[in-house]
Amino acid sequence: MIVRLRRLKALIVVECRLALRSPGTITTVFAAPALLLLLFAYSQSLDTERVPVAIVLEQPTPQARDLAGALHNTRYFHSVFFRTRPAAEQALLHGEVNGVVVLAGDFSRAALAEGDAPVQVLIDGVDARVGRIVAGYVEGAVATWLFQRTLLGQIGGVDAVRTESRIWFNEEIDSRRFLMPGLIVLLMTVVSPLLSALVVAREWERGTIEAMLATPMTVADLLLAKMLVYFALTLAAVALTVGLTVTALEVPFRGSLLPLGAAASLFALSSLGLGLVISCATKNQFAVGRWTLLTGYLPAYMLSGFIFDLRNMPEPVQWISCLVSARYFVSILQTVLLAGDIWPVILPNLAGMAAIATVLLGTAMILVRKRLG
Amino acid sequence: MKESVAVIEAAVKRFGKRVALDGVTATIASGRLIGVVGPNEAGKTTLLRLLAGLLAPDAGTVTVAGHDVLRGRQAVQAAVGYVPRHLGLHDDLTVAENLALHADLRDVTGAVRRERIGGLLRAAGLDGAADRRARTLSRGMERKLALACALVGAPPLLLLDEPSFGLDPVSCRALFAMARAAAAQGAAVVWSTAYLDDAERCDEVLLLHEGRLLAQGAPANVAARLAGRMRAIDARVVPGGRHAIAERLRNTPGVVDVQVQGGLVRFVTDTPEREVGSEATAGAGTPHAVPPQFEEAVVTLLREQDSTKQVPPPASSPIRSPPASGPALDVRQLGVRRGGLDVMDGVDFTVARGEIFGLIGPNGAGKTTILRMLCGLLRPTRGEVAVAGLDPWTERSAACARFGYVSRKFSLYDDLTVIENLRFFAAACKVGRRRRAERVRQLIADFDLEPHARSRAADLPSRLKQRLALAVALIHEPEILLLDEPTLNVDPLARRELLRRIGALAAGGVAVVVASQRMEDAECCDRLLLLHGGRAIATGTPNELKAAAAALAGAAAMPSLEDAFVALVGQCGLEDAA
Repeated sequence: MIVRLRRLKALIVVECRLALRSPGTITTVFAAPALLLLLFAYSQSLDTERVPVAIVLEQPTPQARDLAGALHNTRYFHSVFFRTRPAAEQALLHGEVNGVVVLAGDFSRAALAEGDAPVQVLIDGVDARVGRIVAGYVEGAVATWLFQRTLLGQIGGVDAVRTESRIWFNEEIDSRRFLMPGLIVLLMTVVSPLLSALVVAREWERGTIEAMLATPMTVADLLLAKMLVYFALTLAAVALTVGLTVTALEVPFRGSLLPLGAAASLFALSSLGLGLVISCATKNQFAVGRWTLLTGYLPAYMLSGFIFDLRNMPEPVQWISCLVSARYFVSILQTVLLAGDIWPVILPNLAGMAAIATVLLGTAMILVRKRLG
Repeated sequence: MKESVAVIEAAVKRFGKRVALDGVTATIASGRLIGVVGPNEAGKTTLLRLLAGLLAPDAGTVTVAGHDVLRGRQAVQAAVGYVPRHLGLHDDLTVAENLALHADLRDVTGAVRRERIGGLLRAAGLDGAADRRARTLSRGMERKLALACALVGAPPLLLLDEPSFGLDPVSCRALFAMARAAAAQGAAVVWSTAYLDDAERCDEVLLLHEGRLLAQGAPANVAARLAGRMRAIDARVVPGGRHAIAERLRNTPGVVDVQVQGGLVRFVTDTPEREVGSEATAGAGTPHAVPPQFEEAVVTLLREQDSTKQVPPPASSPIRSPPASGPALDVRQLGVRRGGLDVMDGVDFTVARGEIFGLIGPNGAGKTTILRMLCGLLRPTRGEVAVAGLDPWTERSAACARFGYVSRKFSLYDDLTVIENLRFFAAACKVGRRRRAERVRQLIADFDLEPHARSRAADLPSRLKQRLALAVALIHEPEILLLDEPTLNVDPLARRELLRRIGALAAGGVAVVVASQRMEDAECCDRLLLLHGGRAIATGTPNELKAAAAALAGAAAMPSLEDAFVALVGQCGLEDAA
């Protein structure tokens, strides 16, 4: 037993040295994720600001001018004014604006007399997402304007009932808050399995595993030592990226460290398991890179609920997504950061990751044993 | 007979359909150096892995140090030191750390540990390099380190999987001395190799072929099997005609094996009584009996195993047009400067048409560098290179049409079939459209590639890959052929085949340059250039080099070419770079 512990200690020391000396490790684990995170955070926001829109004022009546002014003053639009519809449509066709708001010539009369003034909104639907956002913003802006004017009594006969929305967890509807937890997980799905898979694949290529297995050491010792070191590195990478998100990117951290730590640990185990399986099942480092992308990154990108909402997917796809450990981690990280320690959400997700980690690590053990045979 | 450390009884190992070992029975005795010899895929690695407890036999038993490998894996592995083919060193650990890791894994502690690691560092000549990372070591040094790692536990059984692969004679001798020392201390050392001159130095050999044990015993006893069947002709009187005589002998009934060695053409007949008619040996002396060499015995044994794999005689007239006058290659005062250092300086040589010219030297001597400059892949810093009168750097495409090049890794497209590779290179070498189909057909027939024409290059065994690589290099009927370590990865039979083809090409007027580590290859060359540290240190025929070495030592007897190599390199005073 003492011999075995000493052997394990020696192996761990060696693994640490190798990890720190290999030039790629620090870059892969710390520098690249941190840089990518910041890059993503500042470029990949789903919010749309200063969308170019055209406002057609056919008759500059006080009411129409007032509404146009309200639209012009929101930070969501960058508006250009036209007097005629065809000119605005030309701008839309040329892609100079993403939408056209038409305040028809009889806007004031209709609004004052009938309380039923049409506002036409034309939207460039090529980018559906931007299109919907423009439509939503226009509606919101018109509704706000209408409400204020009704309160002031400037416009009568308008039904004063309105929807008042309150947004929870992400009060500013800042999509960055929603995206960041997913981004962290996405980065980890590349870093963690790649790290373990590349190292192990390189060792198969260089024959170190073969040489070491021919000593009294067991496969379990070797895997344990490797896992411990890469487990620690993965946790450190998660800590770094979460820390950066909370401090530099001002995403709240409403939960506590316990569920975060538990989730990160299980995720690290499943990722390392995946990495080991890949490195044992493939022949070389090149194939490891490819399979890590195919089995780790792409499923995480599409099926983790990071961007594409899982609840909107067909049921079979939802079932498949249950095999993606990133899905559980995204869910926990979103919960812990934006909502708090909601255990009914956290526990099932932890269980999911635990199951995946067990299966992958078990498979890895079997594959390592088989590989020489 | 000494005590046996391992016993293999009727061991069988299959990988899917392929039978890697087919009922091998052998005993490994302590204190002896045992060569496991055989062509590629003979089962050498499988046998070593069985002994190392890494594989379990499908049938039969393997017992090491009294423990069955199936049941007592850990006990077996405690008794075994194993150096896999890829060495298994951690590149990012230092020399000392690699040794320490293996000491830890084998639970070597305290004073024994310090003493043993210190002793091994000295024995490996690595005591000055203890703090260097393994990745910075030369090829020879890393082999010695791997061997030292396996010796840390003082195992009674030491298993070395092709330790001399691609190693020059100087480094190889150092490695061999370490293994010999371990055997002297009582360990059984198993040294697997495809090189027969390696095996000849062992106390005992196990000759494997397609998973079966063909022969077992001391190399001299194996060689003695050819007693009376071995003759030689002194072909020095007909220079350049050696290969022609060899070829005539090969076509003579009753002649099993022929090889050119220095000024001699040596051949084996099927029976001691067989007479060889004078028409085969015309122009040279009469054959006289010579003692058989181990290498010839093994080749003959392998030949007699599968006579079906005989190779058709190589095509006779490879030259497209009568060659122009002047030397095929003319290299003057060649020098290369890299990183402020002269890595090559003042190398001169010429190669005549129809000549086989050997570039030899230790690892890192500059053999490949010269070939790359001849190909126009590298620009010399100084000096002049003329390939068929053309400068390969400035007149590359014209020069390319004149030479064919086989790189060490063969440079084939793995995912193309044999015929697709030939077609592709025919197009790439600008063989005229009409000529192309004819050339491809001709080469497939000449190189006996018809049965494999639709196989992917990746699926070919190495001897066929080599054949294809040579065919590809000849697709545009070049007048010069450049070969980089052509026999590195092929077995003795494939090596014979290659040397025979080279001989035939030279007889047809092609100038052949062979860069090689193997003295067996060098023996077939007409002239040699011995390089060391980027300088030419000797040049001449194999016999002239031997004579130079003999003069150096003040000895009357001719040394072997390998001894000559080691002596000439050693005399340079340059530190053994390996």
